[in-house]
Amino acid sequence: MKKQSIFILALMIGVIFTGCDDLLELEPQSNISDEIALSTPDNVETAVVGAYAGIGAGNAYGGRYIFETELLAARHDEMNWIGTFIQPGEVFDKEILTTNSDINGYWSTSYTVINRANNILSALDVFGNETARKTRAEASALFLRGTAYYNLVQVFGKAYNDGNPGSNPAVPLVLTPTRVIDETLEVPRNTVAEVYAQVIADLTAARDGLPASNGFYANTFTASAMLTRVHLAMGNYAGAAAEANRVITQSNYALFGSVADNFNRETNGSETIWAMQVTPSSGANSNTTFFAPTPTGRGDIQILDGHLALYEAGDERAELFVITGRGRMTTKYATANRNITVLRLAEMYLVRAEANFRLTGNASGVGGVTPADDINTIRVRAGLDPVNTVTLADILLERKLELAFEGVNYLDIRRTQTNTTTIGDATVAWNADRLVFPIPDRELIVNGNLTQNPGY
Amino acid sequence: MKRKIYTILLALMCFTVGEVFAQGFTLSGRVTDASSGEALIGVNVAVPSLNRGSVTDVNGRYSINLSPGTYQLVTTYIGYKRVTQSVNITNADVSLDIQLEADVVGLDQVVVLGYGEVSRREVTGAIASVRGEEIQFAPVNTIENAMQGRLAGVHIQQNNGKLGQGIQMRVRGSSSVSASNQPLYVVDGVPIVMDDFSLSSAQTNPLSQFNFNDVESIQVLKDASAAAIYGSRAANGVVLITTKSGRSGRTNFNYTYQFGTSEPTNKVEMLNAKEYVEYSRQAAANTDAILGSGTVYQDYWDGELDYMSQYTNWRGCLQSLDQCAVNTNWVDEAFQDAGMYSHDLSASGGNDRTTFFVSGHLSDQDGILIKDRFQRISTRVKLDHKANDRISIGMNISAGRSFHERVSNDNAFSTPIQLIALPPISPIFYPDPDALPNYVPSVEYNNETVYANGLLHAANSKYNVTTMRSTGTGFLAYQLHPSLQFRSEVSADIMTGNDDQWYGQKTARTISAAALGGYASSSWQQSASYSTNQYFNFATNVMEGHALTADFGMSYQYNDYLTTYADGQGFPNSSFQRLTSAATPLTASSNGSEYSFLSYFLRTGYNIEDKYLISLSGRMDGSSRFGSDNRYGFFPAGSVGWVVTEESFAEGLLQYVPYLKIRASYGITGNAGIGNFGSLGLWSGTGYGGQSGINPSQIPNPNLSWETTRQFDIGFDFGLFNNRVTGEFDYYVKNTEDLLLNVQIPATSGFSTSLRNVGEMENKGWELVLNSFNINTGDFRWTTNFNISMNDNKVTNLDGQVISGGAINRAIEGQTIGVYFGREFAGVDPANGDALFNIYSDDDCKVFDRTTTSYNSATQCVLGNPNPRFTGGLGNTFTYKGFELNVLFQFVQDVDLYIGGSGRWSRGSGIYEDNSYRDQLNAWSPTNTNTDVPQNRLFLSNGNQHSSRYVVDGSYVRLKNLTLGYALPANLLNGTGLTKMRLYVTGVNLLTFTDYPVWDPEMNADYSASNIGLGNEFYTAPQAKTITFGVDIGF
Repeated sequence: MKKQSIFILALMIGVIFTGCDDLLELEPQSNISDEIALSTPDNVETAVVGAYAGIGAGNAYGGRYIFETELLAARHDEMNWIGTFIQPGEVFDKEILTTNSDINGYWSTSYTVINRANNILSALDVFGNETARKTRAEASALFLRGTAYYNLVQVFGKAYNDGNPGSNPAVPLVLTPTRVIDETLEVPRNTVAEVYAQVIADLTAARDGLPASNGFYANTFTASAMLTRVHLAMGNYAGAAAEANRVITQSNYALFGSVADNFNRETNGSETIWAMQVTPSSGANSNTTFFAPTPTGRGDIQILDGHLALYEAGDERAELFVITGRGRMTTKYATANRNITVLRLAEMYLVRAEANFRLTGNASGVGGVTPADDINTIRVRAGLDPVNTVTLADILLERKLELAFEGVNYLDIRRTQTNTTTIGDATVAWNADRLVFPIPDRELIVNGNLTQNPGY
Repeated sequence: MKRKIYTILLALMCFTVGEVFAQGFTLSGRVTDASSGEALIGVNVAVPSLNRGSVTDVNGRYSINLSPGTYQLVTTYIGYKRVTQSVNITNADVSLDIQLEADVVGLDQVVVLGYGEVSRREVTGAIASVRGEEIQFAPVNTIENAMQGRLAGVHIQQNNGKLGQGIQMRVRGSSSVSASNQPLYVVDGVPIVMDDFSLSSAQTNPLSQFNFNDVESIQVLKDASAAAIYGSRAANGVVLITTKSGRSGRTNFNYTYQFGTSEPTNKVEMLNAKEYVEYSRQAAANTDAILGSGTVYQDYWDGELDYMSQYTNWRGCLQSLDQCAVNTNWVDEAFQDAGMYSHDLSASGGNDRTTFFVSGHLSDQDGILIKDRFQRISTRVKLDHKANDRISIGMNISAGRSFHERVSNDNAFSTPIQLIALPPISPIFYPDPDALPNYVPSVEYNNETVYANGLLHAANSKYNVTTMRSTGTGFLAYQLHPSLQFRSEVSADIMTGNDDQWYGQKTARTISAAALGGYASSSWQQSASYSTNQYFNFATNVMEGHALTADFGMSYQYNDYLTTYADGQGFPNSSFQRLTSAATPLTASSNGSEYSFLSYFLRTGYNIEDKYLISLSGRMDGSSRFGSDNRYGFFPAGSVGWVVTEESFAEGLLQYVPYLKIRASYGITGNAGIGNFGSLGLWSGTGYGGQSGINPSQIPNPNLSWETTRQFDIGFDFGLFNNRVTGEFDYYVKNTEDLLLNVQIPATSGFSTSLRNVGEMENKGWELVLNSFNINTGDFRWTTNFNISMNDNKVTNLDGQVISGGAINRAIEGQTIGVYFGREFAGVDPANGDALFNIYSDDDCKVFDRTTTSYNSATQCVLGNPNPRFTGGLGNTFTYKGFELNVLFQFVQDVDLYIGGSGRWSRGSGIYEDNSYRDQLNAWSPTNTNTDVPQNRLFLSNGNQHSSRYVVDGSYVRLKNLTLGYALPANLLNGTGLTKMRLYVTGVNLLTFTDYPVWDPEMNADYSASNIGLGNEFYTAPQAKTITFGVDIGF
């Protein structure tokens, strides 16, 4: 071999085997790493927005928190599922398979929100002495975590008033963010009482930390309003009355002139305490998918005569329906890409009326008003005549009609021990096993410390 | 490795020829095919000792200048046996005609190995090959289709009969659960990008821009010793594609035109209007009887029939089918008349120093489904030039564009096959209201069908995907020494795609409420891959009969992926379909990602007298995809071969077994087919109410690395009966460990999966290839190729994980990947028509306990295996004078398929409004108690849940390809200027023999197709049956 060749050969080998390790150091362009994500106050605040996006998902308040519980609670003479999606059909028939992917979505998305909240709570130190921002971030995270746990405990555990909540299993309580995968993730179920205690603690702290006004995000009154549902579930009427009264008397919320104004809104209004923000490009509204007639939705949920018969003549709320080729449907979710109202002021009047009635009957109670006064506020707005006195049944019926298909019926039938029906109008007791969601099959497989609910 | 040196010398020779004018005499003659006597063009005739030679011209003639002496003359030609003979030049020109015999065994065929090549004689690994001419001009959509049934150990399946869709290719079974199972594709030495640009969950085929008529040969490296040179990307096998090159000599033009039509291989039979009315009303009556609800359901149902028929007179059906106002055959509506044509023009030629190959391709093919169309334009230029006796350079550039009108996914209401769910009493168009209850169609599509009307969707939407791909490679080869060559290759592979969708105002039901005012999206994607190979090929004779070769060097690949996406809604009318006219822009996003591989490799071979062969290889691979703690992997392999028939003691054997080689290999390969940043803990952006937020999206795993596959292979190559029958047999065991697994974790963590290296999988199997020369009389020739492969897959360890996919597929320890898992259907209770399920008293479903009507309480069992155990093909070629008949059967045996996807509705015991398959008329009734079809019950579950009721045998034998061609005899072409003219007719998928009850057994629902999601039917389109006519002209 000539010298020249050897030189060229050496050069080639040199080029080839020169280390080029840095060629392998590439960074993602559209994601950020754990280290950066929670490193500044601004970043933590964007994480709060991310947590709201989580609870607005179709598996949470973007739909399933509402329509799945409405389907589960519904009497078959008032509502009919005519869709061909199997998962909601199982819920409506109260014949849920443990592999039902909607139930799995409900569970996993709730915990996604909880993990996002836990991440925020773990990073509060970055705020230093910016106390106001820190408190707002902390209280926001606690509000979302408490709300997610409330929605979990109510469907995956027995009702608080069913047996011993101190021993009935609910859902695992996870209060720290997930950073590594190990066996500590296999958390067992806490009891119904423990989860409710956590919900009360989170929402109470949120109420105390959130500002009075906070854009479309939760404010202190949102936390109070959410607390009323929790207190009702636990039978704590004094607590419910106090929180409802706080919202009615201290906030700036006001009822709309017409009940219909509450629905299909693009922005929050005077009566809106909390709504999931839905735009064409963000947020989800799967209530529209199933409740709204075609072509906007799938028109899968018929509202039957049995429900309409509950309204008095002249009730404007009986007009919130549309007759389609496939039966009667609610118009509460009839327009695409509109907000989903989760909490509104009318509910607070109904809560105060019920709680006052249970505490002191028809006499004047918390807030210096009688239950009839609060009920009349709602009735008159609906175009009905006022009444002088009310019974508990009157109050509950008013609540059912005012808040129909808005996600409280399931809470109400269980806490008031009201039976419902299923296929062939067969009765299903308020505390029946089949009114509780199964723990998703996949969770039982990956977490050996979980137990299945009875009846599955 | 004499062959190797010889190849190099031969290459060198080509430039010396032009320079050396030896004073002497001319050796010349004609090279012909020994059996047909036809001239062979482009044959190499060489005198290796002088580095001198010639290539035969169009008449088969060669000539070499030689001074007096005695020389070894070697004649080689692809597909023919090498001839070595002695010539003696004394004092005159010598004329020597040479006859070449077809090389049935193919021992002298060149086998491409990656960074080098050897003759088949020296191969010690397991390699399957297809010659380009076998697949040329097959009227199929992509190269993989054309390869189906031709390669042992390579199972190729197309998900459905839509054009341009993803294709599943498995070399020796699946070796991964969560990472890619597709092989690595290397075209002319360059790994090509197989990124899927599809924006929907149904994959598209990134190779569909590739014109497979440019292919010279395809080699699939199957075992570790062959594939380990590709290291961390070789565990799923490597497909090496070599494109055609020019040959020196006259310029040959070739033009091919073909045209034809396609139709579905099979159509299903659904209930007609009369049957539907009767069956569904009976279902309502049955429900009333069971619930004791009088006529509640029947009344409701009659109202529903009114609505679904759009108030036309469905009651006429109660009399006779003729009196049904509407009897829509929705099955037929899903299909269109599908025509296709293609033009191919190529030219090749060159001189001693420069050769070229140029080709152009244009085709336009309609799919069998409405609005499915695929157009392709593709060109290639390949140029090779010898600058001097040391340096040669070349380039290979291809550019292609495809335009694809796509069909929506199988699970979309708008997909054509979902039309079959619509009741036959529903009209396609709204009825003219004045004519009711008679049906007089209006011009408006009926938008009140039970499910969205796919015909309305088709008429009011477009889904166009344009993809452009350019690949360019330049190389420089430098002969440093007769035994050492350096080769440098640099290449770019750039793919750009535009996905353009528009949905008119009327498609709101199929697209989402957002489409109320019309909706459109536009996306651009670009994948640019740059790579370089720098390596040496070394070959020398250590001593007489001992040849040593070494191929070593490095390669680097960097890939950059960019995408931009925007959508908007609210269009003035259907004439405006671009986003610029959208009243409301919705999303605007862009994204990017990248990865790189840096590798060093070495392969050595040692050949003792063509008798004992040893090969060792190793590759060191680093990738940006791997975790920081695990950045480099080493992948070694070794193999040995023993040519028994070269031994002196085997001489007595030769008359029975003229050729026998035993070979064995063992090695380690990897699989790096994971996402680009799987090892990092990540947060991603999200939005809420117009504000932006972030959320955790991935759990970190700094240990993440490749999957490791250890493969053992033992095989033998043999010739029998005077080499009229040749074959190969291989047995292999392939163990994969450190599986890249999306491990299911408790969702209470806020995540549902984490990518980790956990678990093990095993593939065991054998492959047999037989080629025989049955008849070879001068005019008539009959050859047969047969291949069969058996593969058994078993997931041996998943660390306790159960991973689900598809409809009811799972990866379960101890089972084959993707087995169906669920309840066992136990037939129908003859007493009442209830669907029954089995309860076992053990978890393995061995000890039967009792049947139950309660679905939830039935035991969950393994119900079937979607991976075929046996696959293969049988090809026969008959030639008689100018006629050639090719018949290829392809078979898949011992496989289970799941038809519960659509079956839960269309074999759902009439639970919903969906139309049912005709075989459901055999439902239980008081007068038909001996049946396995449960009683039909409106809105009540009776056996429509996922169960073994829907697991069926998916074995099939298919007449994959039938081609009858006639080449006009040469004397007819005299004076026409043509060198060749061939007319042919080709049929693809003409016949399918199967017990599969639905459409076509070659299927997998596109939207859920995955490593685990296998064998699922969900309104999955059947394959196309195609007949084309073609003409092939050379001039």
